[in-house]
Amino acid sequence: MNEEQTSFNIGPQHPALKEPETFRVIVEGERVVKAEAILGHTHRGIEKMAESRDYNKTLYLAERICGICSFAHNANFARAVEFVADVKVPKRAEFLRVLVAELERLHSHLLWLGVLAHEIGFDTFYILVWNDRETIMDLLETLTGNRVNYGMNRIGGVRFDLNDEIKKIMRDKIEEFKPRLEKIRDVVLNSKTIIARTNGVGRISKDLARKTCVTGPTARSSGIDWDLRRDEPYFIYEQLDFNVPISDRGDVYSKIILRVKELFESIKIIEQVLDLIPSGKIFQDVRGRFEGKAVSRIEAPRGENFHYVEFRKSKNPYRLKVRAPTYANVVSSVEALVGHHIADIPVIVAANDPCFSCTDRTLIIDRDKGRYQIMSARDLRKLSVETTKEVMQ
Amino acid sequence: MLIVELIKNLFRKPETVRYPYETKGLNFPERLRAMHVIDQDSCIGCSKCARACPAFVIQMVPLTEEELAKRNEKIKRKRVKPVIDLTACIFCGVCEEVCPTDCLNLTNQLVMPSGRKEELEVG
Ligand code: SF4
Ligand code: SF4
Repeated sequence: MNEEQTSFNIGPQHPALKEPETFRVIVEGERVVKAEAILGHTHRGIEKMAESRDYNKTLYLAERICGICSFAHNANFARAVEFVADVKVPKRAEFLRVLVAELERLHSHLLWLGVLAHEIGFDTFYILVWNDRETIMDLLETLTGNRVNYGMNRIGGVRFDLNDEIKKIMRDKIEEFKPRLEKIRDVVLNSKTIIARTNGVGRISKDLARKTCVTGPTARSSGIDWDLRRDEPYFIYEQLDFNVPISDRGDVYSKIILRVKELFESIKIIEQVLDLIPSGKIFQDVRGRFEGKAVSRIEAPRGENFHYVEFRKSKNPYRLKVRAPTYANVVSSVEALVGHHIADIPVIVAANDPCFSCTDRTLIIDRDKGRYQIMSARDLRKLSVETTKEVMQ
Repeated sequence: MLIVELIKNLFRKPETVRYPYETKGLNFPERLRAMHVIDQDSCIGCSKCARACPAFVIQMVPLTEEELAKRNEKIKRKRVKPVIDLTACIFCGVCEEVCPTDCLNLTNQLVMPSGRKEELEVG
């Protein structure tokens, strides 16, 4: 660090955070020259806790790893245990799992889009998107009984069935949702505010994406054509017809467009599931102690979700290892910060990883002069909003 | 276009309500998992719910003398009864699923804020 440079920390503590990270940023004036991420602030010991409860209880624990992609963790753990127990899940259950997984992708991407709009100070769009997201939340609640942490899975199948009445509600609401989604797409494509603040910002090149092992929409927006749903189909994805959008620009704007395109694909998948779903049982009873180990990977809204379980003639997992997609993506967002303004930090961090609230407390330390200054999320957001106003003039 | 939106929005009702003082307009789906009810007259005290609960919030407490005397004929062997601490419950519905006599049910009664912990105990 030379005389002109200043170092400050972003994060980590905030009571409402899902995954707080600290970003230690060195700036020269307003420009970021170096950034690093410090992880591990919300270590809750879930993997260790899993060792002290049986697989049925661990299922609900796994669900609580993340509030937004709760189904992805829940289904992934159930799938891994099903591999060990060697049970065949009924077809209808697999269709229902895909249905909830895609509804979850819809609500997660919409949440993210709203958050990003909020970060750049475009609050009208944020409210519009979140209002539309309520339709999806209602559908999830109607089917499973909960808005988040649905408790949909059990080992060997699912717990809640789809009946004709719910099927009709789903069809109607999805039909109602489509024009609204088109409106969202039009805003994203034409809004000067969004383009001005995100186009060319936080670019992650294909090389960088490969080097930092990113996954999910972050990888696809940097030109890596990889989606587990298509490339290593699980559940019944191989029977469905959908596209995997990719882009090679790698900036925040391309991530927005990519996710909006994914929303349309999810709608397509949901419609096919509602048409094709077979009748039959929704679960296979699974009991007893198991021996063996298994790995399961599924495409969560944010990327590849990985679960490893091992049983040694027991009901409790001997070992559970989880890797959530954000863990893989966070390194790339650090690299993407370099060269940008402080005001772009919330946008770039939010673009990769919805846990933007780590920008809640920023400590600016001017080492040479011995000054320090705390920048709260509000200050940082104010800076971001001011920048939007400036570029819009 | 803008004018149309403006006029529409002028007459639109707010999307939110003053929960919990006002619950009109809130939509509680059939399957919503909220407040439990236990029919202690048909509960046989088998503890299945307590063993299955992933959040460990169901306690089997011994019946009092009075309750022992009042037990009906069919559940003569019942010595303990389930008490659920709703403050730590995750509303997964597993207890309802495993109960052999269907005496434990989750209603869709969502409105249960309370200032006192005792009020959030079902049993
Ligand atoms: S609903 Fe509550 S009491 Fe019932 S099993 Fe789940 S956590 Fe336990
Ligand atoms: S499982 Fe049902 S019958 Fe058994 S103790 Fe619980 S509530 Fe009573």
